[in-house]
Amino acid sequence: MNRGLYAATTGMINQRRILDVIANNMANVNTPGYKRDQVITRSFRDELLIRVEGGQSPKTKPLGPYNCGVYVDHIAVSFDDGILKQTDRMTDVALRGQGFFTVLTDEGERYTRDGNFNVNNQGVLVTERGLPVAGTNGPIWVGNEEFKVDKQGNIIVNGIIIDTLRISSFNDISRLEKIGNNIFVNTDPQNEEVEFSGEVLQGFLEGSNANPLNEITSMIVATRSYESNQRVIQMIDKCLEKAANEVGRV
Amino acid sequence: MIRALYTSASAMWTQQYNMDTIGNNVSNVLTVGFKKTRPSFKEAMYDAMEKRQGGPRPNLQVGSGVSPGYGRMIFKQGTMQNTGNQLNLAIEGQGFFTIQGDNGSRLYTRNGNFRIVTMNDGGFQLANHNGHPVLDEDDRPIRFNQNPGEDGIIVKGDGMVYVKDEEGEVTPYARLGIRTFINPEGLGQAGGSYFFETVESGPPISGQAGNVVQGFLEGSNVEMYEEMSNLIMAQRAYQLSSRVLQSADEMERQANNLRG
Repeated sequence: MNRGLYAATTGMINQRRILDVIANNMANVNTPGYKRDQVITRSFRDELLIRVEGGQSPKTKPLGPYNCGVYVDHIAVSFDDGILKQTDRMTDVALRGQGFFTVLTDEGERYTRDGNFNVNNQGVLVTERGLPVAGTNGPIWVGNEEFKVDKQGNIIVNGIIIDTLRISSFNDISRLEKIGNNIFVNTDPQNEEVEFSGEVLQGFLEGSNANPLNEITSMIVATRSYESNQRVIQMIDKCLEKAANEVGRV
Repeated sequence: MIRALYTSASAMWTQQYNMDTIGNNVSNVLTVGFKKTRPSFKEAMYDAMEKRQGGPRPNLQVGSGVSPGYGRMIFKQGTMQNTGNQLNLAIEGQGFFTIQGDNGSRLYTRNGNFRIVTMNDGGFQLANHNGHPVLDEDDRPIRFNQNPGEDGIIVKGDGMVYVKDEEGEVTPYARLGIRTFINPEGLGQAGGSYFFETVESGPPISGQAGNVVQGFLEGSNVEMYEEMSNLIMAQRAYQLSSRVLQSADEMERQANNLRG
């Protein structure tokens, strides 16, 4: 059957998936520490089309490469810093530069850029979901005193450094995947940790790095190319209709 | 069906919740002792858009929108309003007045709009604007045999209540029950500007906290400029997601019209 029909279909499927990702970026324009997803598409492997001529001793003539359409290769997370929002709340902390707050869960360490923390009823610094935020040696106990966080992530109570926020930074940041609740997981155990070179800011929250303007533009592109692909399918359908119903008519 | 449709629906629903919170803050811009709530958001579940066999597993995690997180109560100091009434008290810094609610329950508030009420037995007691007794540091109501009058009561910064008699002699009388919590954001809201203890907040802690100021009331800590900018953000985010929803719908329509 006509190859173009299938190629255009892969285009439609692909544009739908792009819209799914755009919808998620748009939904999270107000989510603290949200990192924008981008779909990286790739075409199927090229194949060489060959024309075969003649009867007894066929001659072949290459016509050029052809591929059968497009698919989602992977989703790339953009780790650019989001905008900073001043909140003046003691337990709001934001990061500048590449790094993550380390969160302790039952399944091991997880990472987040969402510094919307608070102190729980045990006096431990926790995330919004109640998971402890890691210091140098496990959870950070701050009690009910006021504390300060300096640019290196040291937590200071009454002028004494009681602990330091464990900021994780990785050699290959692209191996971090999202699992929801503003949390990332490292999928590569060989991924080396590198030293955090950014700074920690208290009294700020990092906003989402999804930009509505970019997203709306990508959405227009996605819907229009979806439409184009749909037209191509209709055209091929018309051609097939002609071939089947009119060309052969006596 | 197309995932984007549900993703944008979740965003619209979450922004509605955001609007509700902003609405509640704005309507309490004049409530004495009110503490604003800041909405929070978190990403919803992620799952792989397809399963792929062989080779290294690429990142194909696609999110399914956003959901509201726990609203954060913000205990930032409200503006101090000078009322001139000596029975109006405000706390600078942390701490809550302890009030006895209905059925002997304990309520905590930053609203120090107090008065002296006459009891059925002819005595007098310190109560708040709703008539609930104000408790001292041992959780007992503060009672007087004679009405000291508005000017007969002096409250010092540490919450100590002094009574001035007709000769002008000042005697220490009781100490206001000022309580703090290890996690005040975990307190429950009981309407008005009352809070109650929960497991998350931890038990009340007695002892020196904040500074009591006489003749002042603590206004709401809602700031209109902040609420307005949040409202604009919420409205735009709602609009953006409704656009995506339209696009998703349009895609569905085109798929249906493939055979025109």
